[in-house]
Amino acid sequence: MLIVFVRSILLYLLIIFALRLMGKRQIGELQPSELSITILISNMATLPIEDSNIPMLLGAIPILALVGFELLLSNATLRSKRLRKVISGNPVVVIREGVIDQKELKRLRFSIDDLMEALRENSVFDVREVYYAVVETTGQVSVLQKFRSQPVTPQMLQVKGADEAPPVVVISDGAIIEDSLNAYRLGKDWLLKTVAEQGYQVKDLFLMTADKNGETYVVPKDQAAYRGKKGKKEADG
Amino acid sequence: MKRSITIAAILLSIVALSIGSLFYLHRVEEEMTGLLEGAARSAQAEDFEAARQTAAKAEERWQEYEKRLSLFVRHGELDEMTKVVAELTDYAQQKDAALFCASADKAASIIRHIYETELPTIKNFF
Repeated sequence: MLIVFVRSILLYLLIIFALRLMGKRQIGELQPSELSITILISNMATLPIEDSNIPMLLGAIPILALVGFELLLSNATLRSKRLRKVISGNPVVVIREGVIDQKELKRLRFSIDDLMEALRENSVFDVREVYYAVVETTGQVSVLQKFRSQPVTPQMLQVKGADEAPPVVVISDGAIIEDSLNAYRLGKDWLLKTVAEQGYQVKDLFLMTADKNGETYVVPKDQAAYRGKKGKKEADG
Repeated sequence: MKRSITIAAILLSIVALSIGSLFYLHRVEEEMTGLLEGAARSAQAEDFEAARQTAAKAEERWQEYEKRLSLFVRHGELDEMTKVVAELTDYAQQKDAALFCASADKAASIIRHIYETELPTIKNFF
């Protein structure tokens, strides 16, 4: 059992090392340590299931050990910048002040197609619009557009306004979402009253959203769809 | 903080369980090897009744141990050991010293191998 425990940690470190060597292209959106744990756990979990010769404990221990080690490591990386750099790497600037850093692209093994794809994912179709582009430690690319290409903001237009919390779903498919009501301190009584004022019952609503000011948006259930569903159930029965 | 404590507890439990299982396996290995070697010595001295009795005791002890060992040792090796230990009493009844000693030696080798593969050595880690 000790062997399995130590092997799990050794393999975990080995996979992180291998992924760091492979670079950001292979990582996708996960941090190297997260990806390695995902691969290891998904693989290890299948072994005791597939092979009854392996005791379940030998399947559970490596998984617990890896999750524990991952959490310890993530705690340690929060405290140590140096360790964070070793485990997750650093963000890399690939376009600086509008100039593509070809050396960095080559080092990351990012082709121009990869870069263009990443820019398009950021809704930038013309590389001339980019002021800064940064390859994050997860492999995603963050883009800062040049001032002339940036979307107009209220601040640019000096338009005044207040920040508003987004509406939340308070009724979903005829059921009250109490967590949402509590989050905006609206209360169940307010909800029932509002629904009644609009001529509905809670069970009649497919969707109802509300914001902090009590502004609501209501979508009643499509009775035809529900009748169809009920009719089908009856037919199946 | 709560999560860190949980994880620390889990990891410590795993280490404790691993070390505990190693000591348990060592105890089983020592006892089974002792019984099997004693039985083999009796068979070599052609005292087949003593050999049969020791082999029966070894089988009985093994059946107890096997239940616990199956929680953390691959079942294939345990099944092999069960099979070999069960044959010993038959060989003692047949008064076949050569087969008895060979089987006792094989059983001792299996349990020794199970223990050795659990030892935290460089060879086992890699």
